[in-house]
Amino acid sequence: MNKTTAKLSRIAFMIIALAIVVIFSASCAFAKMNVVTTTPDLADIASNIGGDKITVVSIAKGYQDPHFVEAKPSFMTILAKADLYLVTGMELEQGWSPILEQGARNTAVMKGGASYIDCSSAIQPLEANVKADRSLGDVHPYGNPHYLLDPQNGIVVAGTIYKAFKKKDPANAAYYEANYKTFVSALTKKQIEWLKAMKPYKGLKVVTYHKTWVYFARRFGLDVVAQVEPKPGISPSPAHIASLIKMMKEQKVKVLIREPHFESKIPDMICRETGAKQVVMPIMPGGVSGSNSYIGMFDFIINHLTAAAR
Amino acid sequence: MYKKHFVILLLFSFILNFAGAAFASPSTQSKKQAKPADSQSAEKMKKMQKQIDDLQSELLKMKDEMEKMKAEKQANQEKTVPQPETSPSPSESPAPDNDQQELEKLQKEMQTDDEDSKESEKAKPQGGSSLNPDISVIGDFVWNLNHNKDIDGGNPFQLRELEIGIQGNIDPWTSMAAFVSVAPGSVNSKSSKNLIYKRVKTATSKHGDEESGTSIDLEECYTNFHKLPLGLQMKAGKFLMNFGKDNLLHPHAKPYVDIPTVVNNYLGEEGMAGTGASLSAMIPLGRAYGEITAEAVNDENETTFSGGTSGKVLYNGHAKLFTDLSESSNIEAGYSYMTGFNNEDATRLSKLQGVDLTYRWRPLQRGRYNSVLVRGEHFWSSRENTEGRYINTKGYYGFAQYQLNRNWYIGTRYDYSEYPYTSKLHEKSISGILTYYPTEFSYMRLQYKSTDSNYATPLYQWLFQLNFMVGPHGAHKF
Repeated sequence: MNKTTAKLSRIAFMIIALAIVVIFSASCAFAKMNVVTTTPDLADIASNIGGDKITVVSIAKGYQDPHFVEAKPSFMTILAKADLYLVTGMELEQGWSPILEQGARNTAVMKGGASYIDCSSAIQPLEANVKADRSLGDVHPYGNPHYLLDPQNGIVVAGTIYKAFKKKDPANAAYYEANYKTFVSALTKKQIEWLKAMKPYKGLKVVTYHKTWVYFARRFGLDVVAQVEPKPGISPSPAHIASLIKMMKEQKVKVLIREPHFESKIPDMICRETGAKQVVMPIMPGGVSGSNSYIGMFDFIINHLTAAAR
Repeated sequence: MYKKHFVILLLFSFILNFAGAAFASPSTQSKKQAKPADSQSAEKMKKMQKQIDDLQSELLKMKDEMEKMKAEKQANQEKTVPQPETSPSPSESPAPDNDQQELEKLQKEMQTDDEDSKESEKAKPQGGSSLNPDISVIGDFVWNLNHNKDIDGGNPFQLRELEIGIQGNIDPWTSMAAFVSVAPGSVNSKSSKNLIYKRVKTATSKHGDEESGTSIDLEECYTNFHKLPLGLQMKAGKFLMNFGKDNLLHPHAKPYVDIPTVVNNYLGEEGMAGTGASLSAMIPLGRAYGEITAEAVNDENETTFSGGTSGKVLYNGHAKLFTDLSESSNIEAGYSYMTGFNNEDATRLSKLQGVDLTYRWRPLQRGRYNSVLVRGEHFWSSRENTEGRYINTKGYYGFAQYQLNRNWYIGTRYDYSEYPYTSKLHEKSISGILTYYPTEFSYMRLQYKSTDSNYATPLYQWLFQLNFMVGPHGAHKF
């Protein structure tokens, strides 16, 4: 009897010791704010503002289709440890984030939780309020979610993220503010540069694969004439491609923009038929090699777009 | 002993949850009020409801007025570039002033405002409909191409089911889901929903034989407590049992027209759902993911258990391990164990064990176009018979699927299965499956299935399936 109690107390002691170690290591890990984002553009903006006070990881990769990310359980383990969860919103991640949020068992990062930050909250949406009907394809009733392809929206999102960081970690507020200011003035300077570079091509007619470029086109004065997809999420039919080729020839469209996650066979064929140039433009940092930051991505886009338009 | 522990665990989690809810909720009182015990309080409720409605309509009016005022204000400011309210205005923007001015000038010059890209107001929920639960409706139609009345019975066309799914959050801590299946009753017992013909008399289930007319089935209806302490989650109600992988898939989500023979023979022709509670915990294992689930439900299942006549509870445990092999491939393994009584007097036990293994490959960049899924499940059953002896039987299936391009999938499945009550009868079948998805919301599927058994003539089937859904874009289970 005595032996067993001694044994039990030894086990209890070991459990308590283990618990202390776990709690201690957990609190050490908290020294850096653990930020998880759905997409790499948010991750880059967050790391610009958070600097070395945060660790940041994006669930989607830049070369992936952000609509179609698999809700793998391994992402749940990442989200389980998150202090802040930044999402693009406007239903971009609707097909996978809700499952991760519930599976992560981290109540703060679930939609409506204190650590769930919807970065579209201050964005003025385009194409919102269209009657949501699937006869129009896979539409998003809350607006086109690719708003980060307008660098001005990058500034707005930086503000949203800065506020979230300040609230979550007030001790480092001054640090975040300084980084935020640096980032915004850098992005402002860059935007002037990009706008100047695009100025000669105002009104440039382009065809895009998916309806990804609405915000970008509006900011940089492009005229998006049509999409390779007849409707969002619908794969191109031969009849649609034929009419597209005819229309591109008539309207003398010289540039076709393809997102890296779409196939190249049909765009290649269209370009052969019409003589248009195909530009592979990343929609998120890391989408193609040489576009690893949010600013770097626009540098890449503007360089390649102006080269094709020339 | 095992039972006792489970009950204690369940009780404990209940207490913790309610404690948590009490702390977090400022108005536990209002919850009580939501359940009027007598007519007096019902009247009070009505009054309150009316007040609330009045207030709501007033609020909506005020909102409208505010919107009008906003619109007027914006019209007055047309000269400046439209800026979202919350974005930094020039004076508060952290960028240097001259940069900001230059930027705005350039932006104004470059911006195109054609019809497509007009800034729209934030989408507003219409008439409070945002509080409605998500409702999805799925239709499933099957055509038995080489239908033969003498063998198959029934008719060549079958509207297998109309599934109505209703999901939504109840409050910040709980959500609910309900799936109702409506189907025209089968006129002939041979024509079963999953197109696996019941050629063995003894395997025929009790109900569904003489039915004609429409049947309404509650497939699932449960509330999910997802904010329990320690990362626990609990389901209570009727739900698909966490046994293996195939059993968790709703009929329309299965990658074949029928269901694997082993699932049909051991878990039932529509899989196995139970009424009870389910508790699950996540086990972090570094980069891998582990999960254990414990479930207790009525033993309503009649293929392996007593069909609800024993009045006892059956227990199910499931352990799952998932790990990434690379960026684009991963593997998942599971083990399930279920036990309960198989007779009315609750004297004879049935035990069912299962292992499942799934390999997935999907390249990240071309994830829309190509993917591979390979899955295998093996069941072992141990059933005590009237003489107190255990009958050991088994069954398994292997399934592989390759996605050819954005719309086309090709797959194959091999089935082997005995029956819970005898290992002397068995069935083998091999299938080829071709699926076309025009969009994510519908598909067409053709399946060729050749079945061979040691007790009946071989069977060759050509099955065509058309599946269509409307409703919100739900998240895809992995």
